Amino acid sequence: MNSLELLQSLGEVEPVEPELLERTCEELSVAVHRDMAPVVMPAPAPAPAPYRRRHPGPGPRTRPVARRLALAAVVLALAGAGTVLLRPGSTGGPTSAAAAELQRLAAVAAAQPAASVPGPGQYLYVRSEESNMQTTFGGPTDTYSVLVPEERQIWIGADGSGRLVESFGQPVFLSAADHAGWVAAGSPSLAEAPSDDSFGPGGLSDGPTDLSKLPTDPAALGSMLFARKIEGGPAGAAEDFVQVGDLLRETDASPALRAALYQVAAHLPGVELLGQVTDHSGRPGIGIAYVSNGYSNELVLNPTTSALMGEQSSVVGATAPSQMATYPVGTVLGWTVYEASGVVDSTAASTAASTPAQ
Amino acid sequence: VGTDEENEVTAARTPRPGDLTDAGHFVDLCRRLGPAVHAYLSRRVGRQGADDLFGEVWLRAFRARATYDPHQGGAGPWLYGIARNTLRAHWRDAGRAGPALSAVDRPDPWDDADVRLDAQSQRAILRRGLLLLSPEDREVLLLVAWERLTPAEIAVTLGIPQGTVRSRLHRARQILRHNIDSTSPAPSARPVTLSAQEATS
Repeated sequence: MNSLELLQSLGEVEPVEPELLERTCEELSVAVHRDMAPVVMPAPAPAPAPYRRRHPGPGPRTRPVARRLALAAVVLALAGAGTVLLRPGSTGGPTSAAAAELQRLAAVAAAQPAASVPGPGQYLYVRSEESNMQTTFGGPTDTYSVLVPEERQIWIGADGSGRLVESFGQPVFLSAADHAGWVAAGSPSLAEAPSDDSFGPGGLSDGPTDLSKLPTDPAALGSMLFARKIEGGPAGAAEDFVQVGDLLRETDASPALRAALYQVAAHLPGVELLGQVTDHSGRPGIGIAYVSNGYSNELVLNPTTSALMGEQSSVVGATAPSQMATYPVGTVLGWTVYEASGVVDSTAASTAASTPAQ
Repeated sequence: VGTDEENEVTAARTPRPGDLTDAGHFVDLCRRLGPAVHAYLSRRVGRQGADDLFGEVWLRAFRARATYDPHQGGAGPWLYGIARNTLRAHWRDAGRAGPALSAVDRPDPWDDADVRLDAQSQRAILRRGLLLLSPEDREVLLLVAWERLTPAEIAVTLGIPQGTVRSRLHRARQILRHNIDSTSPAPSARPVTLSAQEATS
């Protein structure tokens, strides 16, 4: 054996564990899609998919968003708040103002009646209006993004069964470059058909299916959340903020759990208080934000009930390089307003409650 | 070096313009070349270190994808370059961690490789010659022997001219020939040739 052959033999190593390879590529996939948006790759329409909304925060995820919209990733919703002045790139601990407001909202939440949690045979009904960014990936010249308006109603049973009704409006191109990309792609139809799907037990479940089992002690809840024992995901306050939002939107979180979530959020470094803002429907609320990677993820909370009223995702600073067009600061990438919420007795019933109870 | 791994890297040598501007292709690249990248790391920092750094390499690669030029040797050498930069950062960080990690003060993969040599009772044979090599020459040699890269690909990986690669390779080969093969207990009857790739690239 000559020296080269000997050297080569010494370079023999055990192959990478298939689990590590797959996990890494999966995390990369999520990071890629996250970085390029908030967007998702076009994908074939899945079978009944989990309903839970995931706010696209920064960094890789270990669990991909799974949602009914075949083309799109759900991007956060926004509260339009033209009067909101964001501070991109801010870091450090939560401002005392943000922490104080979240603690106040926690107290408000704890004082709410527990009637918003559906019992056996009942459903949590939520009606929302939103606009989500959807990106269709092509080559360098024919990739484009649009904002797709949507009206959404969901009935979530205690056993995870339920119904999801969605209808879509006329998409709006985010920029002239996006329109040019669409033309280069052959000007495909952007219309999306309305849908009305029913789900059996467990069909609308994703993540913690029984929120009633989560601790309502802030320290215990925070420990679980930070350790990613509730949802998977990367470490860090940005992801913590995302997961707090995940547990608030379209869930039957009890007032006590909501109170604990606000207290957890109050201790997250980097959380900002936006003050009084208005959501996309023009309703006043309290804005809480987390800025990461040039994007601001904002939650709008009802000051008198602590309920989540709306959300928004927008560009507030330099974003990571990607093949996506660079949108100017202030560009809104998605928003949602929760118009009504309440406990109903069937998937045919709805509530006209104007104040979200979720 | 496994056959499959070699095949994957070879396949990635074929320039495919636009590969990394497509998110799906980039993730596919992770699946195709992941084993080769992990092996590169494992040879230099061991299995555990490779596991720890593997994800970072891919995130770095994604962030740096604009630097990928499909006309400059394909994705394999480019990825090895990213992995190399990740290793150098790792070694720098480890060096700052304290004197207990003095072995990694130098960003030199031989310190780790030497452990395996010793384990395989081949240390006396190779160490003499390899320690005579500069870290730069040794790195080129290991890329030929372990990653089976051509000089052109090594030039992409290291970001240096091909001529520099060839001179380093020539120098390393000469040292090995004169200081190792001549004293090997079972020398090859044929002359040492580092790689057929060297002659064809």
